[in-house]
Amino acid sequence: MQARSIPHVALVGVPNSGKTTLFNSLTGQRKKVANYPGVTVEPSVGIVRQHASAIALVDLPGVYSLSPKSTDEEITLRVLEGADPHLGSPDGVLLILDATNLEKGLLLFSQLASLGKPMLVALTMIDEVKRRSAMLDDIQLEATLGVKVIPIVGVKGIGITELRSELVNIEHWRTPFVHVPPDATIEDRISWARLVAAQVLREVHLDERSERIDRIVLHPLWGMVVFVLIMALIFQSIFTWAQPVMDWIDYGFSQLRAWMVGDAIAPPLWLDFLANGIVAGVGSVLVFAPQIFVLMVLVTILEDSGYLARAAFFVDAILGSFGLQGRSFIPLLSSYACAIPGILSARMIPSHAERMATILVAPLMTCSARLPVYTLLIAAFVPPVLVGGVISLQALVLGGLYLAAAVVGLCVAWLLRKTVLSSDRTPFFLEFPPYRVPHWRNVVVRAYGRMQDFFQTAGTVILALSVVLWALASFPRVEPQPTMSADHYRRMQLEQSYAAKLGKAIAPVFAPMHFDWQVTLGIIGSFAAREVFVSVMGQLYAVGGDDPSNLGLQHALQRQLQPPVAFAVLAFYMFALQCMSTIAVLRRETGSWRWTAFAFAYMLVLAYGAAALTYNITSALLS
Amino acid sequence: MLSLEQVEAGHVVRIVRLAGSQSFVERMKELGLVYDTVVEVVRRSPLGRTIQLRYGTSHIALRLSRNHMIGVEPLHQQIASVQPERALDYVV
Repeated sequence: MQARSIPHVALVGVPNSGKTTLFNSLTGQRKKVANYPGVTVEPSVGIVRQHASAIALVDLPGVYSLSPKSTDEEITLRVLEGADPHLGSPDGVLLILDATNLEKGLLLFSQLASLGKPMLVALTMIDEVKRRSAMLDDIQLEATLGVKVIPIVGVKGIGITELRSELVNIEHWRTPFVHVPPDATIEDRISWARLVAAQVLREVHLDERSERIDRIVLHPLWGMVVFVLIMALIFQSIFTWAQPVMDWIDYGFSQLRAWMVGDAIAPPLWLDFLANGIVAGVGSVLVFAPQIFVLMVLVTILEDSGYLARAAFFVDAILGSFGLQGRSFIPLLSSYACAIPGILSARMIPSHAERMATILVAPLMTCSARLPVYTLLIAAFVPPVLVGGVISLQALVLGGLYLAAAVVGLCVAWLLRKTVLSSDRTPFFLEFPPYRVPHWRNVVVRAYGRMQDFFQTAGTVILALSVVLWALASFPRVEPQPTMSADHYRRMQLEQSYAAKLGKAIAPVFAPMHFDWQVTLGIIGSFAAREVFVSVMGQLYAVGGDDPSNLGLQHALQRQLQPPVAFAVLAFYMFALQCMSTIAVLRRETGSWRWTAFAFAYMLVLAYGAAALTYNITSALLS
Repeated sequence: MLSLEQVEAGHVVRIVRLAGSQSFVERMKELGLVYDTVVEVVRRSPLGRTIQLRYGTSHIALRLSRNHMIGVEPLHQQIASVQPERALDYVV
């Protein structure tokens, strides 16, 4: 938390006004809390320095007015009113006015003026206005508003230096003119805003470029083609760009562990703890980084380009018929990398019922931690034959698992909205920003920030659980026999451990699908992160290594598991909420243990039912 | 009076009524959809009832529901076609 030795300035603007871009240019990467797709969901504080002075800039979620209608908008009002216990009352307000969207920004200005705080206005998208050959009179605007107005071309950084000098010079800021009385109606404010906008901005032409792009992107047929291609690109990139890097990280960490332990059959306890507790734990956190980063880069590019709003328009009709809405799209899409950023980004959904439904089904989307489990079991149990001579059966099964999860998720959302989360259908609206070319620096900074926050929330939980699991698997200690190999010893140790006892105690629960205690132990281990299943199998079947493409492990599984059991495990992993970090985030975002327990319970029932059903169907088919 | 949802793509109408929950009405007004504002229904979603609106310099996607409606009255077509390259004026 920032010491109040330097002044605090609240950064406010309507959604899509280029606020985060400006925040990044002003503060560099000194961010405390990252933001998430669509909106800044928590106040991020950055320091703006110029010469010897500095101020703290608080980036707030975009708002249309000071009467909040969603959770993220409430955060902004809370900070502006000085009700945030950490930040206190801001010393001044920096308002971003989007020159292409002046009317809404001025409406917000008329309300902010009533706060009576010193203000500064940054006028963005000047280049965009020029491109549409409109004329903008910022001097007239400054005279009307009564506060300093600084034109900014965000991407090129023009005006940034001047803005920075003005920002740190907070004692010279002026308090705005109050043109509209505090108790005025919205109509009065809009009339005033339109009047001012008409005075300072003339000859506004339609954005021809955006219109042209929209004619393709929102075309009933071509729009669908574009949408499918972009979604395919996202999934493709997760597999082909991120997967190799993930494999290197995985390989690097297993090499490091092997090197640490050396030739010792039974390494000393401290070394074992370091190698198989800490290093393995850090490895299982870091392995997520590439996928989350790639996904976040792509989501940020789509968002900054203006396409994401169009995609939401496209899918709103589909999501709407399942009781969700266009804004649920980003949370659900992000959940395909990891449910945690997905759940957090649901804050921009105004309707409580729709937001809760989105949050509760987000963990059903196939997150990247499920992939190693899927890859291992599919490689071991699905024959690599070509279907119709074109596509491999293995790829088909994998694709089917991804698709089925989405379909089931939508059906669950529909059911929730019909029962426990029923409410009137609420209207959906989303502004279309003009298309812009995303700026790479902004994209990287934001994607990095989003990844960092993942590590803060999920990383600690995963690491802590990895250590607990290590302890469960390492005690009571077993004395090595001289004739044993290291692999043999590790299996012995695990078989005698508390973890095995736990697995054996729970295994009877899974009797209908014939999960043995080893599989049960893998499921328990998955509470740290689902892909731990692979390394538990690796240790139990004493083949060493935790690489899902490891042929030794695949053969060992083929010997140990009946195919119906393997398919039942796949079905179980599709649905079960076996991820402690997600549970923690669910608790935080729903604000209730009851909803968290509900999410866990319904997903467990689904998983159990699906596993039992899969076991019975595949046994009947294969016998 | 028509409901905005009934307006065909490409048609220009004038808002005469907002009805629904207070937060809906308020939000629509904050977006600039106040009485007398002229809006064009640019296109309709191929899959459902979501529509794309244009008014002033704004474009928004909107899906109304049974209890939330925007009442509109048709305008004469020529107003929209007089200056097709110019952004729509707010009030006619």
